[in-house]
Amino acid sequence: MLQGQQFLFSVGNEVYFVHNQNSMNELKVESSETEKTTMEGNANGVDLSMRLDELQRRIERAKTLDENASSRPFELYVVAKKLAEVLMGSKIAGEILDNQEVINNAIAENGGDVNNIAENSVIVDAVAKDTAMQESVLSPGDAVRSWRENYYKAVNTANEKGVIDFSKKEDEEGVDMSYVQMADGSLYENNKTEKTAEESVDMSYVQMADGTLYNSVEQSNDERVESNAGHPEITNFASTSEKSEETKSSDRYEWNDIVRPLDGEVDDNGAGGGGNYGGNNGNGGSGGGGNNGGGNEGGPDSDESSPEGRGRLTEEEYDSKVEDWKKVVGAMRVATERREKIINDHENRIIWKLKNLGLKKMTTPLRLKIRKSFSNLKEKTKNLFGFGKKKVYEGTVETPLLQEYFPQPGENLSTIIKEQVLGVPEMSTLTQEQKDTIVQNLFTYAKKNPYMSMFDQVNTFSDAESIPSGTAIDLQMIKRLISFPVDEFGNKTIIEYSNNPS
Amino acid sequence: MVIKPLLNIVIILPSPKFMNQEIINKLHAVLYTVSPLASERDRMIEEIGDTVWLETIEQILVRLPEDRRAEAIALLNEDEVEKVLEIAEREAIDITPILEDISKNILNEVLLPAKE
Repeated sequence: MLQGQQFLFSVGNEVYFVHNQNSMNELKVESSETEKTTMEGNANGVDLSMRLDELQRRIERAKTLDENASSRPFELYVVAKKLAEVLMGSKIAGEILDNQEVINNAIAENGGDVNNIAENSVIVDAVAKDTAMQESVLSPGDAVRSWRENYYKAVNTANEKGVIDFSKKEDEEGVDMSYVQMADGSLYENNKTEKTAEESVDMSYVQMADGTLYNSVEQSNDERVESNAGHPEITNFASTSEKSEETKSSDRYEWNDIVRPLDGEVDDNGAGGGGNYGGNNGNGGSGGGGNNGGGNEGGPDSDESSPEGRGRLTEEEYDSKVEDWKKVVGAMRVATERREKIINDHENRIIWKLKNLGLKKMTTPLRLKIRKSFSNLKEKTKNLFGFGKKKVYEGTVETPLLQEYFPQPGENLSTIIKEQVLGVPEMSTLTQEQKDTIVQNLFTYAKKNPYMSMFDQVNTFSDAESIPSGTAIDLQMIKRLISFPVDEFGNKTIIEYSNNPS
Repeated sequence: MVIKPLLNIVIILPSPKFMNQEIINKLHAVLYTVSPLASERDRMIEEIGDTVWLETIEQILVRLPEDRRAEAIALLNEDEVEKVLEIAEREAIDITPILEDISKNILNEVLLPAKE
């Protein structure tokens, strides 16, 4: 990150402004939630200091928070990841390396996709916004407006004091400060006044961090002046470049653009989560499918594999996508919470004990080597969890089963199990009568455990004559259900018990 | 499964195929109540294994004489896990019952929330 470069993005209710302000490459981060603390007790009026280690500390602390504990770490991990991306080229990249493992593990733990962090940012924004609205906390719009007010004051104070001077094209060290790096990595010229036809970007629409589209050119110059009335210093800054009808819809950076929704009503997000920094594609996270900073004109049919080729989604499409992702994120969140409860506490205790014994650090390479070493102890691992029994079909190749099997018309669950699960080659020795018994035992056992979700599909369809069209049956789960020992059947598997009840 | 972080450091996570398939089946079944997502359950199972291995290492270290323990910890800090296990073998520490006890306890811990 070049000195003087900055970018703005939002995650959930927090808006972050990051810039590399001095030759020490000290990371400066300001967040809307810390605005009070950052504005106090600072001589320059701009206290944006939060080094990466502080951010990491906040992430660790967020893990212990009860409220939204499962979502907060993910959001902050997104932040940490974004920071790592931006700071890759800086002198403090070394710090990033040490934290990269934590960041990646954290993202992976929380169901995020390391390679698609931009989409995750937007998704998290959407989910967090929805959550915030439902919980009646400060709306993202209010949070952003409040932050922006304070930020404008802070930056203009800093500008007056010469700490930041956006009117210069280059600083004393010759670093080009006329470019602003957006959250998606694209660069926008600061104070750019001209645009060639080839560079022309349709900036009449701005995509906010939550995917909402706003018509940014509907606001007239008069409205813009009026809206700046309370912030004359902002007008001063904004007027460093000439405004004309031609440049109104350009990608020229303007801080004071206030965009409105397409329907003309001022939306709660009117202040723009993370993106209005450029009066441009304000997408704080370069949301998947959205218009990115490169001025993508591609439609929905564009190749979505590259950022440049991604088409612009309609509002409905985006909303639908967000809804789908919410369900996934929600399910992952629940699973993560439970998993953390089961595994992390125990493992943390063990690691703590190991460190007390003298272990310096539990690194990923060490963890992998431990895993490999124990996996090589074949006999010993066979006895893992106390199961030393020989597998019924050990040594044979298992036929892969579908996790989503769509029944043919007229098929019921019994038929499916007998044909698809018990009809595989490795079970060819089973007679039809044995198969019937296995199915019956499975259904009976499932009915005795109606509240165990792993039997949901069995209990739902065991008595049905046919399965509704479009319903996917998890054959892998059914195979597992009949393949693990059950106390009720004398610690035999359902298959074994059915073949030999004694 | 391969996770590619930003810095082109490829971390390859072994799949659960190293573990006994029977065990994996049972874990999938009991963990279904914890997560309906197979990929999530796969990851949890790997981590359960990790927890078992880590605790086994800890128990091995605890059972070693002090001088051998210091040697083992030094080796562990250099990621020499195989040599730690060799020390355990030389000191006649039978890993099998340790593994069994630990894995049973951890499985019970895994099962408990799943039943709630």
